Amino acid sequence: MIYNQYSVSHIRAYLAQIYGAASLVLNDQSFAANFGTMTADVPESLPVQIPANSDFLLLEIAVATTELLLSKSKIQISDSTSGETFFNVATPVSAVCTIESTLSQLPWPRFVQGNTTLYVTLTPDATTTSPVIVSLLGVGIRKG
Amino acid sequence: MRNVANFSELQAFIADYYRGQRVTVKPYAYTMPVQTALLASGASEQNTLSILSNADFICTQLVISATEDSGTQWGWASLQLTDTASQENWFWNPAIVQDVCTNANMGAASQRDQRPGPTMTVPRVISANSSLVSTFGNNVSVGLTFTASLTLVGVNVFPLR
Repeated sequence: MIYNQYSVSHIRAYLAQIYGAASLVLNDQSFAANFGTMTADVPESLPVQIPANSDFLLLEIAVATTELLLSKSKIQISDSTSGETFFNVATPVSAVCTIESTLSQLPWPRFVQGNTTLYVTLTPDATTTSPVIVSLLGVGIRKG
Repeated sequence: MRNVANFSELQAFIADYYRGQRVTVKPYAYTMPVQTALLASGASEQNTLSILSNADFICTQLVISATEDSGTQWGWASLQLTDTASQENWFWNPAIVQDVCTNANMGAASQRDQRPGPTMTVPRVISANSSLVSTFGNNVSVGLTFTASLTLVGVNVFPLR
C-alpha cells in the first residue's frame, strides 16, 4: 500500500484557508502531457491547460514510461502567466517525480488557479522508443 | 519529491517558526551540480547555490542524482554543505552521501531508479538570499568518473508584509 500523506481532512483544512467557508466540490483530477517518443537531450515542452471553471491543487507529478533510462532525465514546469518555475533549474525526474511504483508527492500542495496554462518541459537523457507521459495529479476544485 | 516531512507536521513547523507572521508557502526544489568532472582520489569539488532573495527555503530532503553509471563508488563520496554567510556546516564532518541523501539514480543500471534513502529528521530553514556551498569529496582509491547533482527538496516561504 502506498502511503498518501494528504488525507481528505488535510486537504479540506488547507482549502478552507483559501476559500473560507465556501462550499466546495472536490474531485480527484489528473492532467496529462503526452510527449510521445523523444530524442536524447532534446528538450520538449507541452502545455497543460487548467480549465477555467475549476482550480487545481497539485499534489504529485508522475512520469510514466517503459524506458529504463528515464530517471536520469530532467523536468521543469512553468506557469505561463506568472513566469514562475517549479524548480530553480531543470531537475532530475527521479528527484521530484513519481516513477513506476515509487510514490513521490510534493512536500506541500501547489495551488493552481483555473484558466492557467502550465508548460511541462522534459529533457530525456536517451532516445525513447515508447511514449513518455507526465501526469499532474491532485484535486480539482469547484465552488458548489 | 518524497513525502518525508509529513504535510501536517510541516504546517506545524512553519507555524511555529514564523509565529504570528502571515506567509505564503509553495513547494519548490533547488538543484545544484556537486560533481561536474572526473574527481581524483582524495580530491573534492565545490559548487555554490544561491537561494531566492524573496523567500526562505525550508529543506525537507536531500536527493543525489548521477548522470553516469558508477558501480559502487558513489556511496563513499562525502558531502558537506556550508552556509557562506555564517560559515555554519550542515554536518560536523563531511557526511557519507549514502548516509544523508536519498539516492535518486546512482549506481548500476539495474539499481538506477529511485531508491529509498536516509531522510532529514527535522526540516532545515535556509534564509532568503543565502548561499550554500557544497563540497563533494572522493574517499575511494580511484577517480570518480560520473557527474552528479544534488536536489534540495522543500518549500519556499514568502513572508507577507
